[in-house]
Amino acid sequence: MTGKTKKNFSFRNFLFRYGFLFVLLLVIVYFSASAPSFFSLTAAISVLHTAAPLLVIASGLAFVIMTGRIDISVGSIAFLSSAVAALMISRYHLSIPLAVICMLALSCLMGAINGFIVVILKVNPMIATFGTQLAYRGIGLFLTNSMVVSLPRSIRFLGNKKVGPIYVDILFSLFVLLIMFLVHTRTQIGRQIVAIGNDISIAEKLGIKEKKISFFGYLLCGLMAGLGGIVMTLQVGGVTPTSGTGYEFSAIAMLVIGGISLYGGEGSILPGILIGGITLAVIETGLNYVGASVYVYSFVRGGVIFVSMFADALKTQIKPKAKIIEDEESSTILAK
Amino acid sequence: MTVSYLKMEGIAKFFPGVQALKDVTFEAAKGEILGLIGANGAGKSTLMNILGGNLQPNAGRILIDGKEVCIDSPTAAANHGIAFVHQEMAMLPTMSITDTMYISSYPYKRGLIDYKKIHQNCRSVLKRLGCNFDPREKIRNISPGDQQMVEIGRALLHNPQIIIFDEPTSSLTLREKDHLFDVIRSLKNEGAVIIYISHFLDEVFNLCDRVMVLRNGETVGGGQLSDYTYNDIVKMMIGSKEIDTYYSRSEHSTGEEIMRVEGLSRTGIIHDISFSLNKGEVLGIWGQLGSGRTEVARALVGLDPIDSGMIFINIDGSMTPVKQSETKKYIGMITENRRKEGLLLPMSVKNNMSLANLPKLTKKSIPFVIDPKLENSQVEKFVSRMEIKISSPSQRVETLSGGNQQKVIIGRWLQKNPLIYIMDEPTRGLDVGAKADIRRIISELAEQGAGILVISSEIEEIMSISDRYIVMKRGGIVNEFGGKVTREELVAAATGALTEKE
Repeated sequence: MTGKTKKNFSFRNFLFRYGFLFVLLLVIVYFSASAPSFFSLTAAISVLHTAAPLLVIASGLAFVIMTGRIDISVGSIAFLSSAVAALMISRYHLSIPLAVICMLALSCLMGAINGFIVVILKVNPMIATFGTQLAYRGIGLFLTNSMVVSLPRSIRFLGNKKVGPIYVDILFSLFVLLIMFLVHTRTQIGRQIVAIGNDISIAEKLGIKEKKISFFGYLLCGLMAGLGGIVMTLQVGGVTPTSGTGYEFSAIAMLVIGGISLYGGEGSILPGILIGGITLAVIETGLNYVGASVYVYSFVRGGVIFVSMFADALKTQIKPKAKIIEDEESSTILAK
Repeated sequence: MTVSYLKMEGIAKFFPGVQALKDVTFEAAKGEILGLIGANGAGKSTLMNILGGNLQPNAGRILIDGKEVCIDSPTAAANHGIAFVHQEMAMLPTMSITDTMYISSYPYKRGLIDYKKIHQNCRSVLKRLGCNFDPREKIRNISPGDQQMVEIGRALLHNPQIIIFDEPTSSLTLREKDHLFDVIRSLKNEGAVIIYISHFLDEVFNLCDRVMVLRNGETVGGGQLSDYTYNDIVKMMIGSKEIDTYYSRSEHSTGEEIMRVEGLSRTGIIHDISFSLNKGEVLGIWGQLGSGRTEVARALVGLDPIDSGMIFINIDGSMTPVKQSETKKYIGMITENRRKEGLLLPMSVKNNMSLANLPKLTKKSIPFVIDPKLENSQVEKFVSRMEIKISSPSQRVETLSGGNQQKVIIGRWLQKNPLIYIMDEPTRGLDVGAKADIRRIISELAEQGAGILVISSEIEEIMSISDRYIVMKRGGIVNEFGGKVTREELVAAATGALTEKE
């Protein structure tokens, strides 16, 4: 009896863990059937190209979400930091390295502000970062006068530069994912972030400086949003007033699809984010290939986010079951 | 006689309003297991938290290996070779065993965590504990017993000389418990000082070499266990204090059966609970903290799910099986934690009292609308009957004393007039006068024909009001006693001293 429940449970577990891989396959098969040109190397590369900036942003956001908190200001951080860098380069003709350094410092600062408000002032993370989302974008719109700021030709080519058949930004985002993977799995800070996501009070009991580590998570999230902003800006060739809008939800969707739980403590950078990112990008590119209306995109993205979060909620609901199964065992022993 | 390695001398600790420890002195030698026992609140945990660096004593000194040491933090305790295995395990369910053990002290190699090394360390520590699982296994995939081994493994990482076990068996099965005892014995043979805190006498007699008994923050006795019997220890634990006589229950006859419970079980929590309750009877459920007594009460009124078992209630003269979700109609539950689970603190006495009874207080002419006159008269009736001291029915409940708050809850149920009352720690935190009042009310309710289940951790209290007793231990009923039971018998049954005799 016990064995049967266990087997059942692991099947569900299997479904939850690899469910989105099936969905991804289904989606690919569907689009390939309806638009034969979709199943090609060119299309695959363009999928990854589309996903590149979001992969970078999501890899930082993961460190906030794994503590069980959230940051919905990442799109605005990418926008404001890119806008400042673009202005420094185009309008004030400062050197490019200086602009990049300033922009990354600025994105760290924005992440630190989020961290301060959430971790130190203990404001609800969703509300706090919703506020900073508006504030950061507001500053950016003010600085740019809500105008497009174009990058000079000398660097604009970088966004679509290829090494062989592969875009440079794909390689860059994969490199970032690898680094973040190592930070997550092979450093004390990364491990402690997961511990905090398990249970803040237990983490503190185990000697983890919860506030410091969680704050670091927000800082890293800001930095990665800035790095993602660079990729985003290079791809477009400039900063527009809507750059980065909606990125937070796409990034969250990527993470959740990839198995990183919004309840914290769960999930992996690799392959998690990569699977999530590719799934989302395949759907969008695929819709493009079959010639769907632009308005369908938002609808589909919304649907995907909802389904993945529902799956996440179900996953946490089945967790306690594992415990009961063990209890069952123990009580039968007790009964003897 | 072995030389003592650890000595705590004249330890005292005050908390605001209480003296938790008064002048406690004891010694422990290497290669021995010292059992530390005492009733709830005797000061066992306080004493060990001082040794573990979680609390600072107000007086006294600690000597290790003859040298006086200052233990001002858990880290300092670890540096002095003291390890504390807490009752509450600190586990990280989504992480590996290795991570859970090393989370705040990872060793590095070339900039990255040296997993190869710590997996190996982990494996060898676990092997020492007789466990053979993969250190990469996630905590949530291993049983509570194995988690306890991980908890102990973490304590062993720093090669401690003194190991404190605080109620380590509370979440273990019998088999796991036996294994743990083997592990503790082997640690003892390796030459560690072991301090074992428990309120189960059978465990202490099974495992320990020496014993120390605490009562009300004082050492009341101790020595080689072989010199004592269960009865000696029980006597030391409860002392010679007389049962208080503020309210003693008069003898009276009980009526027909009003509730019968058969085989109530919830896996891992309670098992095979069967008893019956008569009209006009007060049945005391006695047991240690964590024995499952509160869980039985919660299961009876549907607050916790059950896996099997039947509840019968005498409805209009015949015993009818009642679904767990419907017992609320017949049972009034007064919870253990009145401030959190029983009362809406910012609301008025009136609102709190009529809360459970609103459907009966509606106007006859208009459905769903509360009749204020009817509500006021009802509330006033019960306020005067219960002698609740309030300035007006609109006074906020949070401004009342504990005793009056408890009366408000009881008054609420009186309005519904249930057949059965369950009272979990009804006088906790109340002063002597209020306690006597509540006991008087319980007695009156019984005389009016209600069946009453009372749970209390104060033995004097439960003995002063109960007609009959059931004793619980580890989620099951171990004994049933009639009215003529002695305190010693009750304590012995709940601590497992009687099970040996059977």
